[in-house]
Amino acid sequence: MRLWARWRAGARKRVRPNECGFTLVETLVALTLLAVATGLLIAAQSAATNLTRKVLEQETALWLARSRLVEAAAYPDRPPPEDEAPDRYEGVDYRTRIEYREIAPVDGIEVKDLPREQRLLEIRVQVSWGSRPQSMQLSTYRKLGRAAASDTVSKP
Amino acid sequence: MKSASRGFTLIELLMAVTLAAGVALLAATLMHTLIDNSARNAARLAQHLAVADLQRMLERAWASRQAAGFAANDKAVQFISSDKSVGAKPIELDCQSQGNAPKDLVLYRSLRQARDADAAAEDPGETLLSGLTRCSFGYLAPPAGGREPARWVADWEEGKPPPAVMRLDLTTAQGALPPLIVAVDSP
Repeated sequence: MRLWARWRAGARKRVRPNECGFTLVETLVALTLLAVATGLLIAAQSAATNLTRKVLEQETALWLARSRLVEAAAYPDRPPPEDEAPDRYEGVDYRTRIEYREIAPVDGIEVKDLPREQRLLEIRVQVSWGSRPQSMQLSTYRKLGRAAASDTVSKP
Repeated sequence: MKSASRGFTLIELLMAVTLAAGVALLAATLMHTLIDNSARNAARLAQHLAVADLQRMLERAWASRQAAGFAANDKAVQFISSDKSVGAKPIELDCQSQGNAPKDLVLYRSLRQARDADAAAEDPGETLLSGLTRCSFGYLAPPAGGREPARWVADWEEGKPPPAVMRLDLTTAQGALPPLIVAVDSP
């Protein structure tokens, strides 16, 4: 009986700290580290998603501006369209503004001093979008008095 | 017995489990949203790339289209292009329904005229875009008599000189896309 008691006392002494399991503090530290790592991962993923969304918005704006510029340049003599309601694509509002401006082809000459057929017409399309407004602008030039776009047909 | 060898009390264990569950739930929700957004962005990106390809093809083909052999309405357009990549063949662009689903449209291109059965066997055509809920063509009619401004029309009278500008309006299940407008002399 005494021998059994001594063996049990010895066995109790052999318990080492690393066999006790985790303390609450250790568990909380591990959880905190896990939460921070997950947070960083989510932040990185979120930044990538936002960047892709911004690129897609810019591309949509470019696509719209390009189409409007082609349309505006086809018959440049017509008056610029009135302020229209914004176009909504993929949940974002895009507002387009088209401007026509007669300019001289060479610096130092006033437009009004030139005959109409020697003037250039600058066609500018601006597209703005988003709640924190971003915008992009495309422009092209047409010679005034040129043949209308409808007259231009490729010959076989 | 030392306190270190006692392990957790039930309250401590519950606290740790609750915290872990809270963190895991938050992380899972955020990850789900992010994965969802990423998948949607990837689909949009693929769609933009497909439309960019279509725009390049349309610009090239339309810029060198010929006056002869032009026929158009709001659902299809046929023309002959002298563009080298096409090989001076007739092009037909067609908004078609897939099967019996009128809201599942594809934009289809074939290098033939619709009535040319022999050519149809030779060239089965190509689907340019799919998964569309709306697909229609429009044509910019020139100003009439200098007073009426140019305006978009859905049909083009046969025999009239072909229009200089064409537009393609596309809508997918996610919503409308900006119009694709091409001109014979695009800036």
